[in-house]
Amino acid sequence: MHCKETQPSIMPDQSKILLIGPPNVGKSAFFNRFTGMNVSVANYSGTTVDYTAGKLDMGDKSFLLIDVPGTYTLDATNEAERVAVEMLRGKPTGVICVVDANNLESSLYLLLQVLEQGLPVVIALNRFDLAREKGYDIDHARLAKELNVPVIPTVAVTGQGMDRLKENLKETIEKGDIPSLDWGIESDARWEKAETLAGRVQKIGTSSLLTRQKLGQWLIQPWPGLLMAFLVLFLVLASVVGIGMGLRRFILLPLFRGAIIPQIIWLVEYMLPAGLWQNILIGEYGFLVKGLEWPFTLVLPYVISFYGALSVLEDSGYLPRLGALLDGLLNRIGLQGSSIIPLLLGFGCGIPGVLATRNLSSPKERIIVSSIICLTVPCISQTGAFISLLAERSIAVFLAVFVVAGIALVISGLILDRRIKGPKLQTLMEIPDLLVPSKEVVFKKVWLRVKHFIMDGALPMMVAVALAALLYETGLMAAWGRLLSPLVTGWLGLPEEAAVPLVLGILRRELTVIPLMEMNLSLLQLFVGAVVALFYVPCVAMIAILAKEFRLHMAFAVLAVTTIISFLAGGIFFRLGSFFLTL
Amino acid sequence: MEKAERACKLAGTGIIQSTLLFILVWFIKGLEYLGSRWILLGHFYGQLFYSKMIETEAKLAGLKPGMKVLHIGSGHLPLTAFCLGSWGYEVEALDNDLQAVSSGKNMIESSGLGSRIKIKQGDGTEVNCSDFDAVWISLHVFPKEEVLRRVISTLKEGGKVIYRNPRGLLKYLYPRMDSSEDMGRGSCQKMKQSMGKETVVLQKCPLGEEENPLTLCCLRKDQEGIIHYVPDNPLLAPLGLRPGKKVRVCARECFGGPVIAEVERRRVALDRLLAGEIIVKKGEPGAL
Repeated sequence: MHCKETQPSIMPDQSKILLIGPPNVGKSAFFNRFTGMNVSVANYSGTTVDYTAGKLDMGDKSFLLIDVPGTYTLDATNEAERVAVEMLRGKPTGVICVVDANNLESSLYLLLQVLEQGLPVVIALNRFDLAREKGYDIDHARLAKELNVPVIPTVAVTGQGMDRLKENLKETIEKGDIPSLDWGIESDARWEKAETLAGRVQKIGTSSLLTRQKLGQWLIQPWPGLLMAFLVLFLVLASVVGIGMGLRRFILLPLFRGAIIPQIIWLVEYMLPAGLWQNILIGEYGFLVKGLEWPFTLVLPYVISFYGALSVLEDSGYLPRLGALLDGLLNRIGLQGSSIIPLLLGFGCGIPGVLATRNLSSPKERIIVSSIICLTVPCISQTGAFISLLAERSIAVFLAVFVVAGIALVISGLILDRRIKGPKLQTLMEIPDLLVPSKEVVFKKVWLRVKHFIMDGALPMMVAVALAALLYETGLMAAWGRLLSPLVTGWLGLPEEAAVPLVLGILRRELTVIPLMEMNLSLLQLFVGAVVALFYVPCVAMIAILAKEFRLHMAFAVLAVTTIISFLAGGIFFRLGSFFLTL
Repeated sequence: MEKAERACKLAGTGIIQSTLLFILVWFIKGLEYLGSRWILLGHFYGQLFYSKMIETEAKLAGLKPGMKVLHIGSGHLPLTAFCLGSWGYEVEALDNDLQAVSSGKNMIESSGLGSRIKIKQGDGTEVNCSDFDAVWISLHVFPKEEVLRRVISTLKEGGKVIYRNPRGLLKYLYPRMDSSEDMGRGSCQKMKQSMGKETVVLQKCPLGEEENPLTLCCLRKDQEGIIHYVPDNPLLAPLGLRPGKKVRVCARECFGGPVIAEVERRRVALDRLLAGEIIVKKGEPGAL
């Protein structure tokens, strides 16, 4: 979603090449092929929420290739289109216009608008393979002749046609060819031209993908689509939990507990005398023990299983179908079908979730979805911790926590929908073709997420654990526990030590949960602890993103609201639970 | 009380239903009568139940101050007429109950809107709407279907009809009218309102009757049509929804969710309100 990006404006001297095209046509796949970078790709509109730039080497020259967010037209009716128009005006050296072979006519409209800018352009006729399977026969040579611009059929995902595209781009830029126009530049004239062009170069035959099209059609009907949606979501949950537990129990736990950690303990005991430093490294909160065990055996397995499942869902094109099926229900809590994508991403990590809200049609919806993600959607690290903490003791308590999260999601949606003013916009979204996710792409995505987790998740977690070890060993933690004891013990009914995760949780969300595992809690205490953790403040990184994407006061509001709700809900559940247990 | 009695006769599906409806209408009429006597109570009642609803209705129908509007079934407390008049519309209100007309007149006179709002006695089934840009029909109007047919047949082309359907518990008392599709004379948009009401906005289509215009929202699953008119939305054309294109409805989602339309093998999910603004000409149902 939000990758290492270099701001093109910072490098005004370098020649820029723009990658422009309609949404979900595969621009980011081109970008990755050309620059060797890895920006996120998926089978739905609006995967690229911000422009991304990378280096493109052609011969002895190097250019800055800019992946512009997908636009249907250059009429500047939304943020993405304004960005695209602005970039075209910024005098780029050349433009690669990606045309969707599956939706030729409307892609041609955008192409005509791009050609009107008077810049050297090459056309990549992408998703050529799928178009052929769907029965479209496109005469690309004729299209090139009609427009007097090079047209190269490509399949960006497999890399087909990339070299030819690069060669043509180089040639066009060197010659500085500027296309000539023979159409009117009013919208109607352009549509007419696009229609005539498409009619001339495209023949429509019978599709060889009838089964898949039928399945796609079937999945979007209320019946059996809703039943299938339920099954798919259940299957996703089951495989995230099942595969994650399997990875933990049979691979990662034996590896860390059996092989790596004993070696470290042996080494530390050999090198350091027993005492404070040894305890900090390998004691109760020893950061070489818990600091490795927690991120790698508790969270990592679920990161792998969740992103595996999510990548399959993303690339298959199922998510927009799910959005359309649930749109009517989501409307009742102020959301639209398209909100399902940021929400699901939020179950992985809140940050891409909040960033993906940029695609939503109204500011009101952006605020609602982002707040819901902060308040009620646990990230996968936290879910992993919940599974380890709860599911292994009582699956009912684990499910109860998720039921609480679901109810909170609906209630917060209802309240926010009424409180936040703003126009309600109408759903209008494209339902992409159903595709078979490529194994290569799914593995690559999971691998990227794992790398990302190790750098941005596991390392901060180790630091947090080291901090905890220091506090614990110096006795500061006990003092902190006593200080918070009226709240933690009196109100929430948890042991004094449970004040610790409340501090650590600010750094990483899962750390509100994991330390509870070591405290021998009763089932009710586990549930209360989990509820507090669920609603507790989002991690530092999330707060920073909220402040950046919205305003600082939104970040503060979220901090205040989450803290209040988490303690309030925890206390109430503790009292309710104790009451029912004494019956 | 004449209206309520007619209501009972027409609803006529059961004694309990008729009795309940009679009591409800009697109660509301009483309340509105009190409201017309004590103007403050009337305003409070209007703020509570009407102002917001009428505002959203006018917006949904795309009306603008200065337009000529007829309200059928204005009652003792003509709040729809009052709100519209105070926002700058030229309003004529109609009721067949002479007593209601006189208390309605009193209310309007005392609020100083007499120049913009005219209240007359008359019957909805005999009305001529050719002068008006839009016609409101109250929930309590009977026989509503007959009134609606009369309004549509006399309304000018492009004119709007706004009527209210009961939903929730109210639908057990008042008959619902889902006949807008059969009327076959224009586009249809629906919107839920509070207090168990639903607003329906019909537009008399500027097309000849023989062409049988419909909206995309009215098409059944697997029914095809040719797009005739699309509203001003910058995304519709690039998604393939342009006049002259063949469109097929491939699904209608539950819970008031979107209509899934297919144009040139491309599927688009459209909000029902938006689909209600796209006018299509009927085509034959096609195979998958």
